[in-house]
Formats: sequence, structure tokens, C-alpha cells
Amino acid sequence: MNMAELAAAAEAILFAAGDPLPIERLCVALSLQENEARSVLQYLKDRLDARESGLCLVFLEDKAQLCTRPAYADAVRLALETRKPSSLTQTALEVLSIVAYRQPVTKSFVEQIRGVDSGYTLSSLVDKGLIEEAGRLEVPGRPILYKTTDLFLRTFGISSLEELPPLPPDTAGQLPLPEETPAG
Amino acid sequence: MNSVTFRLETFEGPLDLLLHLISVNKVQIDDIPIAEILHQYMEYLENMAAMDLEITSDFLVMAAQLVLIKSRMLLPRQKDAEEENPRMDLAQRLAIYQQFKEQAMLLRPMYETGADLISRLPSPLPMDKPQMEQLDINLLTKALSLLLGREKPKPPTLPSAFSEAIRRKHIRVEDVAKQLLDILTAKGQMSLSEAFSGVTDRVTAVATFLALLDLCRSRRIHLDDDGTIAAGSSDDPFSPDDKELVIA
Repeated sequence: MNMAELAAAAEAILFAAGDPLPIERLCVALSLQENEARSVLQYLKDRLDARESGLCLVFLEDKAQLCTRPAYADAVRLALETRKPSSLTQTALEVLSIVAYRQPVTKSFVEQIRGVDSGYTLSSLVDKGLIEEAGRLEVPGRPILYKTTDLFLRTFGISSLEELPPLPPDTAGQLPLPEETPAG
Repeated sequence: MNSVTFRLETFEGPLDLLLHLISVNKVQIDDIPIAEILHQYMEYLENMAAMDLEITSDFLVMAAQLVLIKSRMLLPRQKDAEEENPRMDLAQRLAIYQQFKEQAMLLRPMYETGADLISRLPSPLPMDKPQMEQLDINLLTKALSLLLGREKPKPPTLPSAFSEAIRRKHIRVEDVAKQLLDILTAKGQMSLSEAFSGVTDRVTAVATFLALLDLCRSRRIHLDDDGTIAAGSSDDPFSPDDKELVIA
């Protein structure tokens, strides 16, 4: 297949997939190396942008996803009668920052930093699909570990965790972080 | 110095309140005037109580810690001062918390961006799922009685039997699952009855059943209509939830 056909195949695959598709699946489906698959996806992305398609392609770490173009989000919501997701509270953003920059973390780690119970906020962030459980810490009590999701990346408009605004270097380096203690 | 206003913003927790007091008093985190801050902090708690707001234990714990710090600072410093600055721990905690508060502010505008990227749910394409045909309830009953019937009939329990220590049988579902997977690796596939062939008592039967269910759920095995067990699509190392069975 030539590039245009490969891009079209990728487009079809991403449409059917819906959820972010690991690029490696594309490699398997189209018999490509990873860098070739990425070029195909970039080609597809550029083509969608060039013809001002209602769709756009988003890269998320090692996955790709087809989404509606932000410019048309309002029209989509009107047609489907859905609402814009509500804003995140300051609390939710604080908890989310801690998870994002220090993942994977336990609930008690978050609580030590904030000095206050954070269980409710963590559950609500899980419900929103912005964080998820990532196994358990192997200490007595085996507390749940949390990390951010693909939806988190997409929601904040970044394609990988490296694109998060960096923590200020002086404080991040010098200050010791709260210990991971079982008692919390 | 200002005292806390009666408008009473609600604070998430004691660190939040302290950061507020520090900024209102225009002091540095690493040089907190502990007596004054403690005073204002307690004033705030009193206002909360007066307004019938619940003072959570976090606030009280912090109050106690502030009092401890203040008392340490009042004591004459020892020559070999181990704790150079009793406020150090608190200062570090406050600095870390503030760092994340500020980072959260940076993330806020980024949040709005992605809300407008809408995607589809995966298309419900038919997977390799077998069709469910009409099944006879008697088949189920028969299978169950066959299974439980393997249990050897127990002799009637004599009163003397209770004078011995009661022996409890522990079987780990994880071990049974490993055995089943080993057999599968060796034989490629097996039938349900083969899976239960070594079973002589109810506890082992239940453990085997649970192992099969768990392996199926985690896709380590695949069960066909006709009861054939084959290796599944997952390669994950087995890590079950904690299960230990004991004779009831």
C-alpha cells in the first residue's frame, strides 16, 4: 500500500477503535515498524488538518486517537444533547497534580502532602476517568496506587507526561517528600 | 498584625489555613513567627466553633503541633542542638504543599483544552463469543450433583472425634490455578471433568471451581461450549486476589 492507502487504513482502524489505540496494534495490522507507523499517523494527522476535517488525530504517549475537532465541539454537543464536563475544583486539581507529578501514589501520600483527607476527591477523579488504580504498594495494608490515564493526557491537551509544566527546580530537588508509611 | 476576619473562608485543611495566615501576615514559610501564627490559628478555630462548623481532627492535630513547636522554641537551646529549628518540618510540609497548589494553578488552563476533543466509544464488533443455545436446567443439576457426589461419604461423627484437635484444611485458589495452568501447558487443552478429576472433597472442588472462574475472567484460559478448556489470550503473570478457603 502506498502512504495514502496506509493512512486511510489507519483512519478506518482508529475510527472503529474509538478508544486510544496502541501504535503497536497498527504495526501488527499494517505490517509496519514503529517509526513507519508513526509517520503514517503523522501523515494522516496532517491530511486531516489540511482539508479542515471535522476530525483530528491526537497522539497520547504510545497511542493515537481520532477525535472531533475542538472548533466543532459545541455543534456536536448540541446535536447529541450532551453537556460540557464541569470544571475541576481547586482541590481536585491539587490532588491531580500530586498524582500526575509523583505517580504512582497512594491515598495516604496525597493526604500527607495536603494535610487533609483526600479519599473523596480521589474517587471522584477516578469516576471522571482522569486517574486509575495502578496496582498496590507492597507494604502491610497493600494500599492502592493511583496514576493518570490517557483521558488525563487528552483532557489537558498533552500527548505525554513529559509535556507537563515542569516543577520549579529548587524546591523539587531540595525538599524530601513525605515517606511512604503504611500507617499514613 | 491583622486578626482573622469574620468572613471565614473555608479551608481544606490545616496546611491550607496556615498558608493563608502566612500570606496574610506577609511572612516567609521558613521564618514563621510561631507565637502570632498560633494565636491567629486558634482564633480561627474558635470562630469555626462559634459558627457551628465542624473542626476536623486534622485541624486539632496541627494545633497541637504548633503548640509543641512554640514550646520548643521557648526552651533554652541546647549547645548540641539536634533540632536546629523546630519549625523546619512544618516549613518543609508547607513548602511542598504550596508547590503543588501552584502547580495546580498551572494545570487549570490546560484542563479547558481537552474538553473539546470528543471521541467515540469502541464499535461493538462481534468477538469470538460462542452463541448461547437453549440449555436444559437438568444438565446443570446433574453436573452439580456429579461434582458434589465425588465427595466420599463421611462416617457418622462420634463424640470422641471432638476430643482431637480439629484439623482445618487450607487450600489456596492460587495453587490450584497454577496446577491447572501447568496441566494446560503440558496437554494443550483439557476437559472440565479432567480438571476435577483429582478432587475428592468439597473444599478442593470449590477451590478448583473458583480457580477456573478466576482464570476465565482474567482470560488466562478459554472455556468452550462443550466444556473444553484451552489456554487463553492473556500472558500476565498470575496475581490473584487474596483467597484462602477453610472448611466451614
